[in-house]
Amino acid sequence: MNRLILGRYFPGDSVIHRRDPRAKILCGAAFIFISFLAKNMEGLILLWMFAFGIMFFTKISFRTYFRGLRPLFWLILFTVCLQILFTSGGTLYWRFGPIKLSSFGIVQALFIFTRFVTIIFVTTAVTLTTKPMDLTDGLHALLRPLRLFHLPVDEWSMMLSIALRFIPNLLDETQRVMDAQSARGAVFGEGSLFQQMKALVPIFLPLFAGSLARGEELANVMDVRGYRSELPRSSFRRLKWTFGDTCCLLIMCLLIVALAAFNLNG
Amino acid sequence: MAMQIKLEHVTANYKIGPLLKPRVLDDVSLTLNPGRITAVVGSTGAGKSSLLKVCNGLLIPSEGHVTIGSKEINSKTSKQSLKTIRKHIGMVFQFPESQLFAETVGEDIAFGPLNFGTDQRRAEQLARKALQQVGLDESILSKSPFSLSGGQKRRVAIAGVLASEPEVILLDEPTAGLDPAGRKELLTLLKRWHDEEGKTILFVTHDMESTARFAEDVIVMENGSVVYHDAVRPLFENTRQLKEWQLDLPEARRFQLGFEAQSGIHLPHVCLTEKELMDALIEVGCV
Ligand SMILES: Nc1ncnc2c1ncn2[C@@H]1O[C@H](COP(=O)(O)OP(=O)(O)OP(=O)(O)O)[C@@H](O)[C@H]1O
Ligand SMILES: [Mg+2]
Repeated sequence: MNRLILGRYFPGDSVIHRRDPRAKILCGAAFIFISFLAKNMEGLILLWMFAFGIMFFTKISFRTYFRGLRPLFWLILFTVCLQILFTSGGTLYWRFGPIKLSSFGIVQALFIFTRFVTIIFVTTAVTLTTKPMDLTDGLHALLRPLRLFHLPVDEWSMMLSIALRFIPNLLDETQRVMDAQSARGAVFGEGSLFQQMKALVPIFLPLFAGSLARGEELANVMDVRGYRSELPRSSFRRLKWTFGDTCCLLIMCLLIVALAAFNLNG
Repeated sequence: MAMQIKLEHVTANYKIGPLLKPRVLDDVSLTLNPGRITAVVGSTGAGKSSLLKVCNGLLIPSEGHVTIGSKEINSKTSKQSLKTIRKHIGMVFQFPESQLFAETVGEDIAFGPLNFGTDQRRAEQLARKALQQVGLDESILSKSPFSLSGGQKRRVAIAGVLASEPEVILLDEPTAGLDPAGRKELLTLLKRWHDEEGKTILFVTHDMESTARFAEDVIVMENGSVVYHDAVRPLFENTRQLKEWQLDLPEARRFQLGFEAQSGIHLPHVCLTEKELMDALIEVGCV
């Protein structure tokens, strides 16, 4: 459980930590789109440099980021293999029935790999350096215009902040239940896939039961304390946009321009 | 032959991602007397729960080692040998009712024995026996554990640990959240189990009344260290020391001290229960 990096906040005081959550969300989202702009080697290298630059500026060790990749390792490997083995074009090095190894396939796989990993790195950098509450506030602020279309933005943000608020509790609870079942002789992560899945039942059922009970309790408490979803909400924390945040967006624009330029030249 | 638990220079840390909580146990050495009931007391965060976790391999010592019977737990112990150790060391967590998961009470109690390799028939027998040991009726065997009352759930959860027939049972605040009557009843059940089977019990508690009444030995913890490990009675003799450790006195003892201060009569020995107090008062001729 303790290895799960995605969605966890690492306290710190780096340039990235200090940025406004809105800026970080915008840049993170922009990066996901930008990564599809890279169509040649220069673009690829730029993506890597950008991702590693961001990671460097968070002052969080690279090891942490690589550990964050681990849960997705198989997915990445699978996608990359698919690309390598089933894309044709360019020089053909080797073939066996429908499986072939071509220069085009290798390049394609390299692009997919880069996109995958840099997107994970950058989004991880955002979540690692932003408190979950700030993240929701930022998202809420960015989505606010949608209220014009009568979308329940406030409720979404409330739901999100409650969900985020309970992640640490859920992780603690999971650890506790796992300890308790281990003490009764349950062994996790061993045996066949079926056995491993069966071993999860004694963890998930108590967790579900506990979460449902807690959710109901929370709903009652909110009712009792006068929460009404239809009333306008004010916010205790204020987000503050600074010059640094504008710079962030500018850097993002520069990156887009650079990638576009590479494409035109290439 | 009861199992002996021995800790030698055990130091343990918690690690969550990048955050390290160092020296939750700080160079702890102790030998648990087999066949006795030992209470673990101390202020919150003193490391009581961690001490229990170290005793059945849920928390692995970073330095030193734990010897359980003929087996040793250190940083290199494998999962499989931990399982063998856990077969002999039962552990009841705080609010154990939150670990119930099976469709029926019977299945839930049999979960432990089945994991430790007993066959289905024997596991059912053990479940029945354990249920009886915690004072519940067999009729609830086929009920859903989620339909029981809080106190019943707690007992079912404890039965789930007793069913594996451990040599030693570790309990983390088994009476938390129970009313005084429920507390006493539960501890009486555990004591009966101990008396009948001669097994070792180690339990964490904040309640000095339970300590005085049910424990034979006491371990006092402070900041990850064991500062006292001896019989119950001498602990409640030294009131100044108790205050330093922020520990309460059992009611009878408090009455005794007040009585001695006001009347100037000194009772012959430390009294931990009303009965002892009564006998002492009769003995000195005050009643
Ligand atoms: N899972 C954990 N991860 C990190 N730190 C922990 C964890 N569990 C306990 N700790 C820390 O270890 C220290 C000792 O905790 P422990 O639970 O052993 O105390 P305790 O004596 O049982 O306290 P209490 O009486 O409140 O139950 C505390 O400072 C606590 O913050
Ligand atoms: Mg505790």
